[in-house]
Amino acid sequence: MAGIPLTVDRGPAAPPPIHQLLLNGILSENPVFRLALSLCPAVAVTTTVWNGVILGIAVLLVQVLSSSTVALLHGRIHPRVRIPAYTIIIAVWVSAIDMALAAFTPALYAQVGLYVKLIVAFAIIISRLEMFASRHPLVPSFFDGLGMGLGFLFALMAIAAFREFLGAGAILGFRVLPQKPLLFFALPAGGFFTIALFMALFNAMERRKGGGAKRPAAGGHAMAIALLAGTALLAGHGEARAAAQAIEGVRILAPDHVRVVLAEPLADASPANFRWTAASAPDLPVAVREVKAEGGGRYLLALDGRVDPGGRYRLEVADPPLGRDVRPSAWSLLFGIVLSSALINNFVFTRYLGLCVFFGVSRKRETAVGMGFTFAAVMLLSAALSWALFTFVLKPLTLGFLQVLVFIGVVAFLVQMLDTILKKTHPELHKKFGIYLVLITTNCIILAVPLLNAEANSGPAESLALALGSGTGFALALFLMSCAREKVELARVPESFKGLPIAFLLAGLFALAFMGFSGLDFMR
Amino acid sequence: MNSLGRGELVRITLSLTVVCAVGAAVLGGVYVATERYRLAAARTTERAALTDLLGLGVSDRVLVVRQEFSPAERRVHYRATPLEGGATTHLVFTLDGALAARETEPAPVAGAPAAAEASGLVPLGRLFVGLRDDRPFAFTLEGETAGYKTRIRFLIALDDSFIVRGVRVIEHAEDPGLGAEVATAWFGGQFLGRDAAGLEAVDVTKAPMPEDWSRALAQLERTPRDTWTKAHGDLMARERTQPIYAVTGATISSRALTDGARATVSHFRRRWALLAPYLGGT
Repeated sequence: MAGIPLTVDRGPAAPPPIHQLLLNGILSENPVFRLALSLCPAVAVTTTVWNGVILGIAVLLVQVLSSSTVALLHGRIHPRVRIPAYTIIIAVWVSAIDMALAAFTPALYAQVGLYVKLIVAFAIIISRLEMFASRHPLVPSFFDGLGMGLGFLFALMAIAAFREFLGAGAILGFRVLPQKPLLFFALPAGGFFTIALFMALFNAMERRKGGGAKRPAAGGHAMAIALLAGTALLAGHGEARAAAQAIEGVRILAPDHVRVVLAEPLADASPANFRWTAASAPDLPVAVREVKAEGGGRYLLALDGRVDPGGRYRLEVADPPLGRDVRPSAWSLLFGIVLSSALINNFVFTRYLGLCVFFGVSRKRETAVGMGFTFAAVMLLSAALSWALFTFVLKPLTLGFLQVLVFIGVVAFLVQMLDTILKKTHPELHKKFGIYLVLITTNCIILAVPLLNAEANSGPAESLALALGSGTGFALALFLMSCAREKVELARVPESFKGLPIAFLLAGLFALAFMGFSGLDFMR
Repeated sequence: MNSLGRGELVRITLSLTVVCAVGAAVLGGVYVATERYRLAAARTTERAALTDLLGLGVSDRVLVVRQEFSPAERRVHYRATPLEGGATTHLVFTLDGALAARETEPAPVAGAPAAAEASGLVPLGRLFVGLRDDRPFAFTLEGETAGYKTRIRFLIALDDSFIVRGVRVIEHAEDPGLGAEVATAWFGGQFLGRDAAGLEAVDVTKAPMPEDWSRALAQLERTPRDTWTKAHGDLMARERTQPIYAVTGATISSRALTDGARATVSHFRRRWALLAPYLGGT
């Protein structure tokens, strides 16, 4: 019952001939242009052809290997847990290929690393396992996987070649034009536009042949899973504060002054009694030029260098020995993370993640809101759980290489658990949100957040802030997009651009608009 | 469909457990098999970057200095090890710049480097010293700066009179076409030939780069640096006193790298003043 929507259901018919399977994947069921699955890398890594090629090959290998594995295990996996089992199989192959790429092609891997790990969440792979490999023997499954993989590779290369040529004036890394013809196409917005053009082209070709497969729309209503989100929010409370004994407050006054408030006036208020260092160079003090007493325990220090109100510093007094770390308050830092991951670095519009689900459910405002809520809630839960597992289990045991497996396992576990619980306790809620729950497994944002947290070694508060910010950002993107798409429904759109191509153009425009948040800085 | 027999429950649990266990075992195997190559590749890349940046000759050696701060004892630790491996010179300084301890540690057994991480030391970046006839002749400093997206990690090379020999971004996640341009030789080339004082005062401008300078820098990508420096000496002399021209549409990234380079070089000079007498310098 836990089927993956957004796919073309061909039913358990006899497998088509091999050449047909291969051609299907490349053209009429091209995973990117026709099925509109696994779109994130299609925008994210296609600024150069080499990036597209390496990721395309990785996907090809994962698809073929997973399809073959599932076909071999035919009937041995209990049907109730087949989706988690497939996910684990994919995660194993992804991690293996990830490690191999990191070892043997480090230069290329540096560019596409995150996306290789995110292959786990690519809807295309799991949907082929569910629709094809689990119902057919090894050989057709192998070729179906190969066809899909080749189709994906072809799509990435086509988009990348187009963007690299226009955006950088280069082909395969070689500059062929003296300048960059249209830098716009190297930007994320340009990625969206490129895919829109290609999709329209494929639509036009398909229409000429007469009739193409229609994608069923994911439907559903939305009300309030806000309760869940509320509980998760509460978990984010309780940030510990480092207390200083007598330095009661330090305020950075740009460009080079610092106001210090002490409990009592100092006996020695000479510049030599103060020591000011940046957190990045604790051994190299910045000279204090002058100290001005302002009455009480207040002093104004003039420093011999610029200070940044958003930076981290340490102030020490030699006599009596006092010290205090100076940094933006935990709340303003967290607020900054939330806002920056929701607006400046919105996962959809600037990191191009979660696109499949984004385009799948942004047709109606109601579904968009429902998905937004559900996603934000699951995102928070899974980020918290993943952080705990990574910090307390994986890191101490140096099992970092299992992170993809563990993180996707957490997501699958949470989704399945919420699904089961909701179904039993709140059937009407389950009816509304169940479909989104299942889709969440294929939203790469849910995997990207724990991966980014693990890489940055974030603390619990920062991890949750990133999860909250990216969840909110995704919900916001969905909401905006659905509003716009409802309007577009009424507009006269050229036949070939109807549906997804025009949606991609819209997303491109949003991406352009979101670039306007770039200069925003909450600390200064 | 709603009730599960006990046997079925066992089967479900069993099949998931087996899949997980086999998966983890496979990954463990792959990890063990590939980790060696990953480390070797990383070492080769680093070595190649150093050779280029330091301008290493065949008989030159490289000293890797790991710099760490210990907040608990308020000491700065410097561990200098030859890149090829060998005995480590361990220097400890107080915060006033006085030498607190100096010892030589034998070469560690292969495969256990990151022991310092657990002991609460704050890493201050690495420093690579190029040695020719046991005298330092060039330096490469490891630096980090907060870019537009995430942190930008870079190497900056200086010669023995602290004139910039090269800037190379080794890790970043800036936007392609915009911030990512700071990782090109075109942008990094602007730092070439600037001395430490010039770098200390350098600013970033949004003004367009002069045509001839831009054309010259574009060739840097494909030309060996020494050849390029010889060919464009007069242009470099002219631009040495000019601000750094920001990448169009990526002023934040450009400023970040410039500020990072400035701070890294200034920190290095203050630390090297302490270290030099013990590492063959003057």
